[in-house]
Amino acid sequence: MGDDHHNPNFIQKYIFSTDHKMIGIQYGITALLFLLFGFFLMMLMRWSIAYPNEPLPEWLGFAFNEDWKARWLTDGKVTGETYNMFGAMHGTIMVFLGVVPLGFGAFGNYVGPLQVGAIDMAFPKLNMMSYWLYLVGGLMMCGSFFLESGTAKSGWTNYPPLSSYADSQHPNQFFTGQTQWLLGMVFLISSSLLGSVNVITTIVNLRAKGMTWMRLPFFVWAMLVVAFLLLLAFPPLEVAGILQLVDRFTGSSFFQPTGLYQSGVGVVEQAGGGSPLLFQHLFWFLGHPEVYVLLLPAIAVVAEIIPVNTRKPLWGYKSMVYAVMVLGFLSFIVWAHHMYITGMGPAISTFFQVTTVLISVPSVVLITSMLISLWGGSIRFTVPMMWACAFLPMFGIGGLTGLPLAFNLVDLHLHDTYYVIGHFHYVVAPGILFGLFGGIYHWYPKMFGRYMNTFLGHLHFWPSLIFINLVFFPMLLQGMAGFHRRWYNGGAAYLESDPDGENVFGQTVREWIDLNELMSWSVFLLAAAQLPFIINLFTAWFSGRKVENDNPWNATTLEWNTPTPPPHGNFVTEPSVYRGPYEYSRPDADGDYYPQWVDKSETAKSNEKESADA
Amino acid sequence: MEIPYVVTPRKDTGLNNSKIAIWLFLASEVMLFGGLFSAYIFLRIYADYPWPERALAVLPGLVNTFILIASSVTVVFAWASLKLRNWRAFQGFMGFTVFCALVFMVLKSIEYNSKFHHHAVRTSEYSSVEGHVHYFEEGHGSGSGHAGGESSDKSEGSSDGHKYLSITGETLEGGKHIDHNFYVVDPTAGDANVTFDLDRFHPDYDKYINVIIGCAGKGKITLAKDYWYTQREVSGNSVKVTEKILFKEGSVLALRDEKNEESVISIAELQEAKDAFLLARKHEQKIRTKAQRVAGAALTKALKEDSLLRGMSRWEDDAVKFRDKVLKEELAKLEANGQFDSDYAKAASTISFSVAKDAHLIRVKPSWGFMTGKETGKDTNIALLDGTLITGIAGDSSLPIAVDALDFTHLVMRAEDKGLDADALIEESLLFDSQVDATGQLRTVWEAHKKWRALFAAELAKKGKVPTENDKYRVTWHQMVAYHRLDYQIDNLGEVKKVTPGLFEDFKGANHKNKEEVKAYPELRIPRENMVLDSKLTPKWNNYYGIYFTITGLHGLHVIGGAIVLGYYLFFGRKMYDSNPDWLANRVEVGGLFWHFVDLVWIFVFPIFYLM
Amino acid sequence: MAGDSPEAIRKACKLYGVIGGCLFIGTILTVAVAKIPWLDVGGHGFDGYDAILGLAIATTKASLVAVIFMHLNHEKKAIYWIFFGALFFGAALIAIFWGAYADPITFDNLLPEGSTLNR
Repeated sequence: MGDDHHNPNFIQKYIFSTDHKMIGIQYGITALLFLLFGFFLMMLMRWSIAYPNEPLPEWLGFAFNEDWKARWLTDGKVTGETYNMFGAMHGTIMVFLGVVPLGFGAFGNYVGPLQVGAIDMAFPKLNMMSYWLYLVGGLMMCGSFFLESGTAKSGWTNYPPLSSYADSQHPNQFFTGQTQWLLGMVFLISSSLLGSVNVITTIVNLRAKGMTWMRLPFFVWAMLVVAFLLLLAFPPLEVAGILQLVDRFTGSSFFQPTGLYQSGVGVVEQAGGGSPLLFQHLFWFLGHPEVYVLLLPAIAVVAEIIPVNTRKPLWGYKSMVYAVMVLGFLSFIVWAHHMYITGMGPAISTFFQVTTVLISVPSVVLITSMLISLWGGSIRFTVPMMWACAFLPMFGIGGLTGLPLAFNLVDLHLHDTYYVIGHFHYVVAPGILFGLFGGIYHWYPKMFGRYMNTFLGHLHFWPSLIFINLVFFPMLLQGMAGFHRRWYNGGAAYLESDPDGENVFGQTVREWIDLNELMSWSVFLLAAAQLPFIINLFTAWFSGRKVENDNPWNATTLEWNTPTPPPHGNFVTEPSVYRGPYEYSRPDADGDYYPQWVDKSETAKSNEKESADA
Repeated sequence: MEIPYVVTPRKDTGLNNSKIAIWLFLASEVMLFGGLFSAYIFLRIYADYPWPERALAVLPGLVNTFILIASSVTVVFAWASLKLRNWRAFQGFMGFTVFCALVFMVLKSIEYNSKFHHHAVRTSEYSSVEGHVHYFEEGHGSGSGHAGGESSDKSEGSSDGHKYLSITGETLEGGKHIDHNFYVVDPTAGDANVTFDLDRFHPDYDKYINVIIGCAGKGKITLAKDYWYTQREVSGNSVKVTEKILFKEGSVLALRDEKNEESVISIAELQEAKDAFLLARKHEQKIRTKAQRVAGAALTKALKEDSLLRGMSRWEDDAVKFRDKVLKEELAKLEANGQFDSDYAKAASTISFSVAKDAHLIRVKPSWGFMTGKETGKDTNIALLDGTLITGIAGDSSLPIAVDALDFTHLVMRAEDKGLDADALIEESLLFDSQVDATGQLRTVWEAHKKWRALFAAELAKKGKVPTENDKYRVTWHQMVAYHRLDYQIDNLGEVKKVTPGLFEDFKGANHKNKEEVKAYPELRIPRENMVLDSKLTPKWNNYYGIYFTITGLHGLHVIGGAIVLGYYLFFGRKMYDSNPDWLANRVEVGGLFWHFVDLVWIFVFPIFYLM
Repeated sequence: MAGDSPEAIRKACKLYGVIGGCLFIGTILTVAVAKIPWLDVGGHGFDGYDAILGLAIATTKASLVAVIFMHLNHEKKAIYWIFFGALFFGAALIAIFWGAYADPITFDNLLPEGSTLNR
């Protein structure tokens, strides 16, 4: 069908665009804004943790009007209920509205079709629907800040029965935060579903001529696996969300065990016989693949940045491809390592322990391959490369700190402590986000024809690296000492003043509580370190150094074979692919790189197997 | 530029884009329904109560199964017609498919409807009954405007020719009725009060207030005490605090559009009081926040400079005491002299009304909140979902219900867990109390059932089998009708079988509109304090209905979605057929794949929910 | 599409009709084994045998729909991977959930052998 609008108007071109690049940018901007908002929520939380007795300072409280503060703060201080609101929304926003849309929605959309040599995604209109479903779902969730009940406040995990009772004493169940969270999640899952169908179909069916499976850039392999994870793992969460919605709207007992007693209400009038455990299983069936959905786009990005900036092929490409597929498969059968304390017996928890320890193998293969890729390379420390190089050790720390959590016995001690928070933030924040930032600096020149400013890039990178470690490393220490997570007063309630008192735990808290102040101030300084980035995004667009040509980094993958920025239809002529994606420093080729799209010239002695298998 | 492989398949994969896409989508649907069925499995296996078996009428489900299978066949014939370029045949087959979808949904809504009108009650001894609750009809009480008198409640009769009085006494259109299922407060029996929580009160929830006023009667609810507030004026260094009265004691709580006699409080005025409270709270929070900031700053300074506190951690007892002291002083100072103007400096968060002793019964729906103290004549406290509190002496909140199913299986399960004699406990059941079962008909039904089950057990014993718990302890409506038809003389099984409603009478379940049939259903009046759970046969009643409605509801949404897509191709596909018939065939094939999947799910749903 | 010729399609249509008939019969069979007393397998009333039989009939019917109506008998490899992959993960979901529910901590596996705390 002749779908091309030769003269799209403003709305068709920029608002309801069906072009994957515009949609990618929409995802990117929206995700970055949500990330910023989630960061802000976390700053409020960290204030409460470090200074539970002090009211929010003016420079943090500026976002709220007096009415909101009168409702949700007491004496200007963050209350437990309000902290829980911030906490639940911080987690939700960062994971579902921030990192995944940025990694999969923004990068997957923008770079994916370009790298396979397609003119757009397989279903452009569905692609547009994906974005708008995401935006609507996100706005529903965040909009609940303005409801009388506030937002969801039972953790980003929303375990019932707590989440069933949250906001239950409201005549209009529809306009409560928990309900809006669940409904928003339905929108997000639909968005995800359409997106993954699109990505898989594009990769399978729209590859350019000559683009065989083993010539695909690793980025594309990673996105393919992510799409399958989203496709197959999200539906059980949808089931959990639907069942919880039915519980809220009809008073059913899917997740309510028999005999619950609620203070102020008495014995709850419900049928009972439900299973809170069922929710946890359904949630974590998604929850675990979700963390690989967070991770793989970052690995994908770093795997592209490294060869470009070392002028060497990616080491172990084939192993990485197999590793990522094994990782995807295994990620479906490890989930209950989030549930070791729910009373699973030795047989089943050993099963999960084994699969969890196993899954570290492909992850290590991926990281090690990228590390080895640096060896003997002619390294250019461009800003993207700095972020990519920081990703490796930071994710390494995150991954290694995960190992104790994999063992069911050790996890009994560490579960729900700050150790867990330290672990997963190391993976996501200095890990994944650094990788994704690198991607932004790396592909910005292709998207806008200008480099991002290097000096601002350094101003962004170095303080971020230092402060982010100061934020999360102490958490590992506090956690091992036994600090719980989700304490709105940072542990102050447990302080024991008498050094000879019997409350041993209070002594532990006393020893480690001062780290809270260090971490909170590091967070505030980390926030300041993001300002150069925000400024850079704008100023580079107007006045950044222009790129010299369409391939400023001298890269080999197909996205650099387009005009800058790529027009509707992406390629001037239909691309053909003649070799693998990382042909750098080939001894038999002219120049230090041999792009995928360049036809074999007479001088090239290609010893590459040109297999035509699908 | 066109996206390739929309119609023609790509050579190496052999597939076009939509084929891949639909199978990917179906893969995710497999996970979706897999998750739902897994929920079903675990809820059933680990249920700690007897799981209802075969509680649904089979015939509608069976007919629906045939309908979906037929539509599955015709949708593939429709696709074949397109490939054979026979437009008329395509229209016929596709039209039939969409028609089947519509009939399916109609049957489904009939099924749902009958369940939603059926009530069920579980008592404190774990016995349960199902049936139809009485509802209001035109009663006596000549124009007094209050909800129909107790003695006139009847549940017989159809909707024609009857008017129904609402909970507050206005006449409703014929056909609409209000279940006689209330929490009741009796103002004539003792002091009754209504208190509104101004923080949570919202003018949109005015139905609670309207009902309370409507029940009690015009002018019967008056403000118990003056609702006062304080005002604060700052002029230079002095602060003037004046106390003012917003609403005077004795003001009447009234509906929004009643004529304004002096001092009437309607929703608008309650909103005023809420505004006063919110502004007062805001003002107070401002003062307190300022005081906290001053105390915090003082502490930080002291920890650096003060001789006693220097170098201490802010968590030390002395540091904490110091801060508290500064806070207290600062607070007092700000309260007295702080530069904070406010029209509303202090205002109460609740506003309380007393109900006149001669007001009528106040009745609220149980779904609006919860009631502590349910026994008639005892103190009670009804807390509504928006924070409204009604206190007083409980009226008669019992539930009048025409029973068409009697179920002791849960009681038996609990008794056996505790090692008690289930049969003995059943004989003592509160359901047989003269207060509850006034005519004794329930007892008669139970006796008849015991005779039947003895005969049935003997019959089964010949084949070496035993009756199930359901057989022994659950009396269904079919059986009640059968026993009634035999006048409760149960002599042989064959006779009972002859008069038992069969597959076709079972279509809509128990019929309380049939004047003859309704005589088979005993009338009970269950006291509220013995009711542990009451609901319609909805997900609230138990997880069986919960998962049934959820899965069939979602399946129904898929049927509707599929019908819309197929209908689109039926009605709007001509243009595509004329320009590129293979593209339409392709699309219909993809739609057909989705339709078959919907049929596939139903193939499992039918036996699992209707036959197991 | 494989077998696109008019004759092939007409032949396929005949097959579809036959399969449709089988599905009707299968449905009647399902109700019969559930309702007719002398077809009741196992003990009286609903028990594990009835469940297995009912699900077996349902699975057969579902397979007919999937294999013939949904053309799985001559579909491409990629589709097999996708669909049966999803079935595999769906089955794994149910199986592993069952594993978690069926193996809870009990005093039997918490307390060591010979513990005097044994209930």
